[in-house]
Amino acid sequence: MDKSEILEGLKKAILEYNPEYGEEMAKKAVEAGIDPLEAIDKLTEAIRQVGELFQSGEAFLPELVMAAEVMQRALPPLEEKIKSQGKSRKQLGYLVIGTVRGDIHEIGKNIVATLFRVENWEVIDLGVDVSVEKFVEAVKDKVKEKKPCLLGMSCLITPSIREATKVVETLKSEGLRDKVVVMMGGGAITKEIANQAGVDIYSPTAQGAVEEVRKIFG
Amino acid sequence: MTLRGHYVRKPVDILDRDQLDRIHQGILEVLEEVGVIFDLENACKILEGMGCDVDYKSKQVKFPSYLVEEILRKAQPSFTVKARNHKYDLRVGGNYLYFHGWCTLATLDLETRRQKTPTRQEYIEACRVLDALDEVHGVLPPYGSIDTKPEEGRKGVIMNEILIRNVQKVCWTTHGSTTNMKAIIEMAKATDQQIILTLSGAPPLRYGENAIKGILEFAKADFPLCTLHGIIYGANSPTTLAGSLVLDNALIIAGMALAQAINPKVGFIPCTYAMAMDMRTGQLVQGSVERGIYSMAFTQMWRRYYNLPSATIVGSDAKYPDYQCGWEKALNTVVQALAGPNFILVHGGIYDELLWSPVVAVIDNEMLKFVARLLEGMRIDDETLAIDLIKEVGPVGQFLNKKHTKEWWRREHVLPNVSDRSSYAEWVENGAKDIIERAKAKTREILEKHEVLPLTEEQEKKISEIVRKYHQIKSSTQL
Repeated sequence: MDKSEILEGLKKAILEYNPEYGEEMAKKAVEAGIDPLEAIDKLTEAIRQVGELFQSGEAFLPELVMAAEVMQRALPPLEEKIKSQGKSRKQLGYLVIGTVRGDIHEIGKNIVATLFRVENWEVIDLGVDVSVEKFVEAVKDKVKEKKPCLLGMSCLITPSIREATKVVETLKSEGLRDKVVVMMGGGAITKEIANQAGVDIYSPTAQGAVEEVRKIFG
Repeated sequence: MTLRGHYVRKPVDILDRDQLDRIHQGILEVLEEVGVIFDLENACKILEGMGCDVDYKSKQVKFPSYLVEEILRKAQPSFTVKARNHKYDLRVGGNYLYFHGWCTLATLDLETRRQKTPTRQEYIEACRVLDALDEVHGVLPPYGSIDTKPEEGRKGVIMNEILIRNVQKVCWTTHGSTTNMKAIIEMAKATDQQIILTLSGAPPLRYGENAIKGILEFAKADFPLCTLHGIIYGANSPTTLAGSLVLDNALIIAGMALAQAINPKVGFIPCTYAMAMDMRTGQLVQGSVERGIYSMAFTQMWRRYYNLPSATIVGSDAKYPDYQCGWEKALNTVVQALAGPNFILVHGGIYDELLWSPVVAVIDNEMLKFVARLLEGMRIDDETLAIDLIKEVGPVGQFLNKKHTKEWWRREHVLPNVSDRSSYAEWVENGAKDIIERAKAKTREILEKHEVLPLTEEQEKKISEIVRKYHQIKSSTQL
């Protein structure tokens, strides 16, 4: 396989939702001496294409999540190569994400995390039933690194709204609020609730959250 | 190629064998002792030739029971109806169910909520929307009349031409004048298709001249016939559902007999169009639950007792596509579909025969997707049980990233077009629109995008000649 065939293979793996093929093509790219950053660009191009299909109603959540998983399988050999070259992959920043205390639903949170990973954000997934303290500590830890920092809170059930609001208030009292872009989503949240809680981004869909963040960070 | 209907597995019966026998015996008794009036002497002669007793003064035709049994035995249990585009040919029979559009007299202006006579363009658009919708398997002319000027030619011919040009699925027609019937038969033959005739008898027990001519013309052309007698409980038929079932079926079998005498292999579809009457006002009632029960019994009688095709109709009494319209149509469609007829005529009708809208047809199409899914039921096999997958995912994983989900979700779950399933926030953001607004947008999209198979050059030439010929004919007596 020549360079262009391998690059097209990476794109095809995503568009056909084939993780095994994605991994195989990524390894081939490394063997063939293709610039790993160029290979990652190809994967990103394909993943954005799937995002557009999702927006237009031609692809659906399983496709979106599976495409992201192909990316996850293809990235490690390419990232290893980048590291060995002494370079680093451009990371936009950190996303600290979790489902707030009292709530153990995680599908929505996982979808958001997956989409942000493929957007080149390093995701710190705190899991489910996350306390106010745990959220704040993780944000405090990441803002030290002087990179953009996002906080995503998932709330499927209404009692969790109070918990999310506490997180925002604590960030304020700890002097961290202006250092982090706070997002909120989940079945219990409406735009009004998100506004009252004082968050920066609310989106009813995972892809919508990605779009909103793109508006801020490009 | 044939367009397969939805398969109704395990149709629901509401009568037992003993009850069906009693209804059948009632039908035999009525046909033998009362009979049916045929308002055309020629028809009486044909039926006399079959073995009926005829009183030529009253044109009353009585059917001996052995003859009725023979007619039912000889009727076609299944047959094919050819569409202009043969991939839409229908195979009528068995437990296969087709959905069709319903026909009315006028259109509903959704802005003013007033009834109006449709224009030529509105008729074309209604036909094209029906042609595009995937749960419309055949098309009754959506409007009974359109606004044309006398100098444009015969209205019936104009409407038939529009139907032929704008619909590639199986088309239906009503028995208008003999000229119009001959015109559409010629148009259909020129385009290699069959047209189904809706045949309206006059209950209690009579066929008018036009209906008889319809039977004679269409049976001769080997085009299928479908009964559409307006049975009104307590007015032209007994108020009891069982009594109406006897009378309705006696009238149907008499029409079937005449069609069979002309062409033994003609396709014949017994259809019930029975309605209640509001005894406070005399207003006819279309969306009643009684129609559901009656249609189920009618279907069981024809499909499982006689082993012959059948059709039913869904209507509403609402004057606007509102909540009442929705539940009346959905409730009746579900129960009728579960009984397993071969056709349900449903799309587009609002105030039964009086109002129709392509936007409502779009909404109905979605409702019918849900009904079709209901009929499919639950598939149980190793792949759908997904035990290995459940083990693989374990107690805390997810299924969204599994091939099984990607491959199966569209097959297992209906994806609506115009129903709202967005979040509240998205709904508000998108203008807080109701289903009518969304269906209007979908209708516009269909009209912009849908392409109907064009006529071939040869068909075009033939149709133009037929249209020219029939526009020159001043009245049906000239043929």
